[in-house]
Amino acid sequence: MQDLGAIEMRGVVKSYPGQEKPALNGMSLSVPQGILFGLLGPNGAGKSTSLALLCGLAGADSGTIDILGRRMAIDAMAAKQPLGFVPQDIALYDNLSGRENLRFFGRLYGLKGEELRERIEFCLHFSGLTERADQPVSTYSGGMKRRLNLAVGLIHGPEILFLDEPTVGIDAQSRQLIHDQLQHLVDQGITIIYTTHYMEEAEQLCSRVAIIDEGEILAVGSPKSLIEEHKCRNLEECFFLLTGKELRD
Amino acid sequence: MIRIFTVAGKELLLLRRDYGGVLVLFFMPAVLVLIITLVQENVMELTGEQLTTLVFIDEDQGGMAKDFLDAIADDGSVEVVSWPPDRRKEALSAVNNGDYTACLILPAGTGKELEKSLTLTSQDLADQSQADSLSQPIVHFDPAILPAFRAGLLGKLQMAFAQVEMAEKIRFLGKHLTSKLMGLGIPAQYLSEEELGLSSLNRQLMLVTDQGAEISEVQPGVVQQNVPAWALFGIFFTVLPLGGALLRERQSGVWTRFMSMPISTFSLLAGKVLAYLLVCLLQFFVIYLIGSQFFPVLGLPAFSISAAPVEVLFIVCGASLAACGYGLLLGVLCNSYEQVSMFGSISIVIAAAIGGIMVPVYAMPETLQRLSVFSPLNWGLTAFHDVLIRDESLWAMQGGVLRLLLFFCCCIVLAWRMSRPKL
Repeated sequence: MQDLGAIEMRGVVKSYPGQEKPALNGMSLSVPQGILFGLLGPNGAGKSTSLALLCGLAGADSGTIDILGRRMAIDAMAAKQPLGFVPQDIALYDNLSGRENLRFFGRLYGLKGEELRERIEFCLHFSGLTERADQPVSTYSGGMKRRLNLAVGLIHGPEILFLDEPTVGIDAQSRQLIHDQLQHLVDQGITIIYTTHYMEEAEQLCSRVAIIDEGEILAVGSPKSLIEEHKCRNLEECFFLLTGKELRD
Repeated sequence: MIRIFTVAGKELLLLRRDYGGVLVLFFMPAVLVLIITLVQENVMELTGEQLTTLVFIDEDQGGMAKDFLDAIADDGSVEVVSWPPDRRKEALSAVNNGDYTACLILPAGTGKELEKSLTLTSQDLADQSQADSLSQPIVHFDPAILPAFRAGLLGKLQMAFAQVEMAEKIRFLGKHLTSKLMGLGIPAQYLSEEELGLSSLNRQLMLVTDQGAEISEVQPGVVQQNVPAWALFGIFFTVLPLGGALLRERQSGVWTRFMSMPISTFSLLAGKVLAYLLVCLLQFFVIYLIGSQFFPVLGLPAFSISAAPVEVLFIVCGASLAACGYGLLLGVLCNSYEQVSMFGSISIVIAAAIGGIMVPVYAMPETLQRLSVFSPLNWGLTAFHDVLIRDESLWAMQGGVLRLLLFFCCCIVLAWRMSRPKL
């Protein structure tokens, strides 16, 4: 039996009205299962568009996207079922407690009964929020909210988790906890697709990264292999070498 | 289906914790219905039945004042306070200050001049200046009173003086007939109008009867018109919390998270509509309870839907769905809560104004009357009037309800089309 890749993107083109260049220009990408994959690029490179297409937030103009062998354009619901998505924004209800947020999103994924209760307890434990589970999210600190944001993405036990800059604006302790938990998830066989602007974080966490710019993939490989290939000291130097240092606004 | 209920349950839970939202949804419409009905009931009474106090100054000092006081007492809606002629300035000042509604002055010689004018020959009448020289009663109104009320009171005074004039004419006729009989050599002393059989001439025999008010089970008064009108206004104000909730989801990234989940946009929107439909029904029920139970305590007529409860339910559901659709559309069109609250509330007030909620459509300029058919509040109000006031059937009010449902469908389709997160 052929081992399915977690994600297969082939020749994906996506343009926005009023923009000369396409946001994604025939992008192809293959992500194997059970790794932490970093999607790196400057602002406007196409990271968010890639993530949006992979999560089914928008449709591609052409090309195909397969999630664990299910084609997004043909059966979006089936393709989305094994996905977890953690947006960069704190996508939670402030007036609900942590537990109520998890329960609501869990039910939307079709969980119920004992299974739902178990998943909620797991996610609360995972995010270190068991003690504060029944307090409104509005009373949480920035780090707690971000951890709960991540936990909601895990409520249904996804096979693939998309993280859009999950460590922006949080303290070192919360960031370290998130790093540890992500590594733990990868160890359990979950595939994680991760965008970040922190090169050091990507170098430390990701087993493979793709550097993209202007809607195209410039390089793919493990951080170590990219550093060696481009004869750089670290991933950040490699990143600047490939994408340049001019400002992207 | 479970997902729709899950979304609806979450919306209701969020609403329960949003005290401001609950205030907007239940307390404000209830207070609005109560206040507006009380105010309008009072305005209607001012133009119709409520006792108005009038200062009366009799400078004439003849018999006309008594005739006038008798005539105005028959009307029953004007209380007359007589002041002596030397307090004329004081009386005018009191009226100007708003202490009294109006001041009526019967100038000196009015009675005598009326008597004299009855003896004018046709030649005298041809001399216009002689006819115009008759002293006339003068009325001063409180400058702050409404034109409609001014016209109403003026009409009552005019009617009272018409009776005074008629009484004087009948008296004159009696005397005239007596003198004519004597002139013909028939021995006669002065005969009163009763003896001459003229007394019935001073009675108003032709009275217009309000047939509708007699045959209708429910009196089509201010309460029957106002409660549904302002209940509709309240229902449409649910667009603010609903639009605001959707906007917050879009801004916080929750909507983006939804789009990544295996759940259809239809289920998400349907869940919200279900929650707010229940809210609107509850809101109408609260207003109905106030209208039917609390209004009588305040001395107002009770609001009743007993003639057409099913039809009313249809209309409330139609209006609620239209409001929900509009709220969702605002939630996807607007980019800030300020936009939702400003655009939402102003557009509803405009729709209410042109829809006949504040001023009846027939009292509007022709252009606005034409525009009123585009207001969803007008569709709802017309349907309410059809079943609650005009005693028409479910079939008759279906046009309004169908328009509301069509409006809901258009809004939902647009909201659904535009609800994709911006990348």
